[in-house]
Amino acid sequence: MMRYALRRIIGLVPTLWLLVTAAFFVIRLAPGGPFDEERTILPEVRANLEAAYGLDAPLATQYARYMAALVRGDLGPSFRHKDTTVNELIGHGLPISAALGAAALALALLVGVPLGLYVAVHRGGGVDHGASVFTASAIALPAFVLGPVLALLFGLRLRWLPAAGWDAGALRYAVLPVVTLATPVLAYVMRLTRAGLLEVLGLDYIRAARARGLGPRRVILVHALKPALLPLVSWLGPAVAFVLTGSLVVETVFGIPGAGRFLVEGALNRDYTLVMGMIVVYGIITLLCNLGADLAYGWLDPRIRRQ
Amino acid sequence: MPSIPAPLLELRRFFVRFRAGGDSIEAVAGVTLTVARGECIGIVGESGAGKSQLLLAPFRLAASRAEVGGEAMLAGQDLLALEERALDRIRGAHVGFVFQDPMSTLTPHRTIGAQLVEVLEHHGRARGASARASAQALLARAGIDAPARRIGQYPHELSGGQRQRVAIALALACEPELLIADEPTTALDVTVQAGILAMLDGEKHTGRLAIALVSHDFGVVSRLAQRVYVMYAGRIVEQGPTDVLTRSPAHPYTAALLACIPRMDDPLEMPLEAIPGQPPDPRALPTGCAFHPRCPRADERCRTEVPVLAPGGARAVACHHPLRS
Repeated sequence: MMRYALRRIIGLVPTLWLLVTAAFFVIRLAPGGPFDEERTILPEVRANLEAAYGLDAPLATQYARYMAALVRGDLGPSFRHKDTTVNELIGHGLPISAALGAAALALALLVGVPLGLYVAVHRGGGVDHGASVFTASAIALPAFVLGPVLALLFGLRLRWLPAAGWDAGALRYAVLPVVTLATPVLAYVMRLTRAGLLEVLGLDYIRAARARGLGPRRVILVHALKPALLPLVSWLGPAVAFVLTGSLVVETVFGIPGAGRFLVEGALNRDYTLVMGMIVVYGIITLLCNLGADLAYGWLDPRIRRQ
Repeated sequence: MPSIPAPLLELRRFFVRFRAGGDSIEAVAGVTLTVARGECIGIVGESGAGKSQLLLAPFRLAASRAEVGGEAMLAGQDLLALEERALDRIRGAHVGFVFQDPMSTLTPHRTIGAQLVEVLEHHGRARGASARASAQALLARAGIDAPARRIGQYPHELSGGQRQRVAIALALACEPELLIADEPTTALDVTVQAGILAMLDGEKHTGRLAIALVSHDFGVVSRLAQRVYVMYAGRIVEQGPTDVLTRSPAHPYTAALLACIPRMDDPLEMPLEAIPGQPPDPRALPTGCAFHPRCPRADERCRTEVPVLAPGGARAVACHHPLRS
């Protein structure tokens, strides 16, 4: 299993290379550059700036330099944040985003999976109907509505919790952004768990397990649960990467200094290295999460284990 | 006067209905059936005749929307009045079940050993190391080669025939009094089928086990069963000792089913027999005798009047114009 995982991790390298290369050239295809301003700057100043950041070299050279630095783990200097490297920016923002995301994910899974199982077992009952109204609204409600509403209600009106800020992840500050970020994820987790279990409960081996008198608890938790989680796991692969790398909306609404804003900000400013850095980090996390989902698949269903 | 022992399983005017859209479908229409201790009975009929429902519904293993009624007694206990929890103490412990498709009836993510140990422990027959030893012994008894190795394998690592042997081992693990086998050999190759039937026959001869064997194949049933019930469109149309029915069927449907079995001494160029027409749609059963549209002997009375199951000698038949031997 370990060797298999290691081989798969090495197999990710070409994918990552392809991603980085494509991103490198696509960004430079976009019109404008990092030093285009509404106020025109002197050509000499501009030339100096470009020389300082190596932008005067031919594209192939720039690419070679970038890749060489990347292999050493150096994401380069930010073009917009003066005297700051992309490593420093992401190194500061990503842990905050990841903590927020991990908490939201844990909440979504710890609440969503048991609830999904419960409503599947009590299908068609009052709780099931209530739950389907909740999941539909939670998925439809955008974070830029839910976030401010929660901040307004619990932060400003009831004054139970701070309406914004982070304070190094103190629990009081984390509650509202975590709930905002977790709500749609929880709704998806619930739906996928419910649908997964319902599908498995109709299978022959579940009837056979019932026919052995194993009782509903054992039949569901021991015989049905693992295969019922397969759809959830394959959804989680890409979803986890999305949640961990930070939500621009949630971080903006609650004024959290995470990494969520870097991708948008960097793209608007043509801060090539910042965008590239975010893409590299996002890419690695996505690939690892998908790998994790694949490995979990093998654990959930032994028929997949031997490839 | 010696008291007549109560049958192990007794169904009286038992019915199974489904609601589909507006109409009510009667899959089993008032069947009376008994299985004595240690006896092997067979239930034969085409697919859709209601034979599986007949034996699974009393144990609440039919589709969940089924409406079940009449009487169903197991060793004097009213099955229909039991709570699910009480039924779970019967299923697997006192009644074992084997289903048609061994490819899909074992839990794919649990090893053979784990599933055997689970059923033994759940019903309190053995624990820990002794349960594992029993599991291995059960596999050996089921005719699985290298049971010590098989016990750690997953179902997908076994062939179809082996899986069905494992399924039977699971069903018999707690030494039940009754085994309900629903088309246990239908999904298997003929040679594998023979092995499974021989295995069931061996279990039968240990004496205590009663078997209710459901099959569309008269040949399969006649190899094991002392008595046969022939089922058509939710009703028993003929019942009696296997040798009586196979030698001289009284119902034209029984005769037609028997004619479908190819025989070794038939000339090679003889075409295979098939019963003309299709089994009836349970939502729109023919009036009178449900078999009349396919019956060569049908007349006006068959089209209007439902024949009742009437005893005649060792057998009982529901036909207005039974065949005479």
